[in-house]
Amino acid sequence: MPEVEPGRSSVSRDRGTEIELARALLTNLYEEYYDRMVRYIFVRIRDQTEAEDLAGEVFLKALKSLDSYRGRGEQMHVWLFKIAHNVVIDHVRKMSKRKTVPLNEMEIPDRLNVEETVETRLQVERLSQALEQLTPSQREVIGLRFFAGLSSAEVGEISGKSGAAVREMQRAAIEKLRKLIR
Amino acid sequence: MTDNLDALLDECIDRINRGQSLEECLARYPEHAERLEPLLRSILDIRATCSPMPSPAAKAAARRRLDAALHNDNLKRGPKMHRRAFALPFGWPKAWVAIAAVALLAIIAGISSWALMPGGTPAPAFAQANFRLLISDDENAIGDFDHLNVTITSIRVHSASSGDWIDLEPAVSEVDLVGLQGWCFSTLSM
Repeated sequence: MPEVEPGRSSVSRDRGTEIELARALLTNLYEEYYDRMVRYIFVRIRDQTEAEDLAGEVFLKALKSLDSYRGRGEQMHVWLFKIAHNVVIDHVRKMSKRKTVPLNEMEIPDRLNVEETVETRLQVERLSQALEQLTPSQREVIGLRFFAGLSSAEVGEISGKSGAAVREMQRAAIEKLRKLIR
Repeated sequence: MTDNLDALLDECIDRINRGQSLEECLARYPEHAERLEPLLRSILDIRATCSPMPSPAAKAAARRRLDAALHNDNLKRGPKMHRRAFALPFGWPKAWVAIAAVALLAIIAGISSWALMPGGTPAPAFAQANFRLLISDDENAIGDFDHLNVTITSIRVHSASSGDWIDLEPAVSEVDLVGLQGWCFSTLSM
């Protein structure tokens, strides 16, 4: 697998061009990653409205930081999730100072009837509580792996863990979840 | 055994993330299916139930904020920076250039990969909007390859405004498509 280095193309010869390409890529990635970003953040904070706001904030922060994005050896979507990871940590820190409680707020589709809505809400509550029992690191791995769809190597890059550590953590997290929801 | 289970589980999750069903995945590892199935089923249940669908209004609002920030950023960088940044003789949107480059790379890569398909008649298809490159009509067939090397010999982009074609020199001449599945695909545009 050849290493793809930005700046080696005849299209992008200088730093300004790299930034322009990065901007274009960022707007393309918005369409592909916004939903996944919301889901990942939701798993961490369990408030959909807040997750949607924070996901938007991630892209704005990315745009502001594009000058520092080098791209070499790091794909932009992984960089975006690193920003998301930090945004979530800041948010959780702020919330803990305000002493608020988790909301477990998720919008249930309108198409469901009352009975289905209640059932779905109970199910969401039960599974969300199971997720809540995981350690923050385990929730991070589950969020990035299953809700954002990243590879274990990418998760390791974001969380600063080896691939083997991520794989072990994900197995332990899933086993724990399974026991909790059985 | 635990290490082995970790690795198998990880591989199954990759396959599921790429769109394979649980059953397809388990069929690949029949001797481990009994251990893998309850784990995978648990996490799939949680993902199916606890995956919020972002509201279109929130998504559109976030997109507007990003576009506004991009516009302000453009103004800050100034027109001189712009011209230097994209030394192309057109006033076409930069995003379009990247999109065209990615799409063309995909097409070139796809055409080059025909000859490498193992047996059967390949049926490549392209959907430019999402930059999906399908190398076979068999879902997730790329998982059958250890490597799928393609050679990119040329890139041409077409300007919708002027009607001209521009030849670009590929930054990467050899690409292993196995490493560019799904979202990794966007790597080629940089």
